[in-house]
Amino acid sequence: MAVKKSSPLLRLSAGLLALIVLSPLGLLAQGSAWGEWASSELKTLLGFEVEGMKSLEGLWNPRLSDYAIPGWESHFSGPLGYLLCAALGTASCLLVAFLLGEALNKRKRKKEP
Amino acid sequence: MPYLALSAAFCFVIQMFNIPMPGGTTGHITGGALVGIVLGPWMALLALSITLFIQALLFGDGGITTFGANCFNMAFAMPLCAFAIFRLFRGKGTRRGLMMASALAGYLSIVGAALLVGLELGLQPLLEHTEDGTPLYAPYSWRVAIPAMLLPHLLLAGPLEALITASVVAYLYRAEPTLLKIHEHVNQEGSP
Repeated sequence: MAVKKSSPLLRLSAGLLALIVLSPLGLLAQGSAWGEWASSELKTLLGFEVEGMKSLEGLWNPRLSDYAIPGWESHFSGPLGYLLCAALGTASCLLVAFLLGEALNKRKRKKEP
Repeated sequence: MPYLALSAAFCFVIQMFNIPMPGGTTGHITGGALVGIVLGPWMALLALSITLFIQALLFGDGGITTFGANCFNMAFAMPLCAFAIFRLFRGKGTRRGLMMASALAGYLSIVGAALLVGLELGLQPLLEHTEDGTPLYAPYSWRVAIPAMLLPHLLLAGPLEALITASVVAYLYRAEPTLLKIHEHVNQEGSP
């Protein structure tokens, strides 16, 4: 690897890693964000079914809904699952951004031979 | 490009830190202000869109149907607003000036983005409802939606976003001063 020990990239990545490790702290807060309810949560809030929302809910089934690994629900595995989701999400972001960057660079090189 | 990737990843993790809000709901800061300031609004648009895309695709956060609105608020409006405020108030570029400008940019841009969300959510019941007026999607009117989005962001998320933005900018100023000029390089390279 060409990354030097003093590279800013490496230092910033270390900060990112620290944030991933700390991410289970985000579980301390209970409840959904305002406006981000599932239709079942809305039903309890309002007393009636919000039809349009319900009909759209099956549109996409995320594998790791709410940053939880299915079945990992104990006091220990829950936060651990959250941490792993943070790591996976971070890796995915890096990958997508990298691929996008490559694609953009390729196009730029074609334009300027 | 590595900074684009790093920014997208940073925003992803920072948005996982839910903070309790009054009224039993939660909120989080976005990192959009920091990325807007460091990368400039156009690269930030890409970075935050990647973050929101991964959230929706893998974790059902935000969601596929709200992806467009989320991108508009958090990937477009917020970094642009933060970038403009930062540029406007950074003064002569002293450490103190940069910190003040980035804190202000963080605070105002997240409050602005929250206001946009309130406006959008409050508009929806007016547009989408059944014949008897029962809302089909977001159920609350402006009178509820705007204060519900605005107050927690004015009191909690705003100051936090300001704090995080200013502290990272202060760190970059001391440790990696070249990074604070990244967007200028991008603009130079990008111009024909």
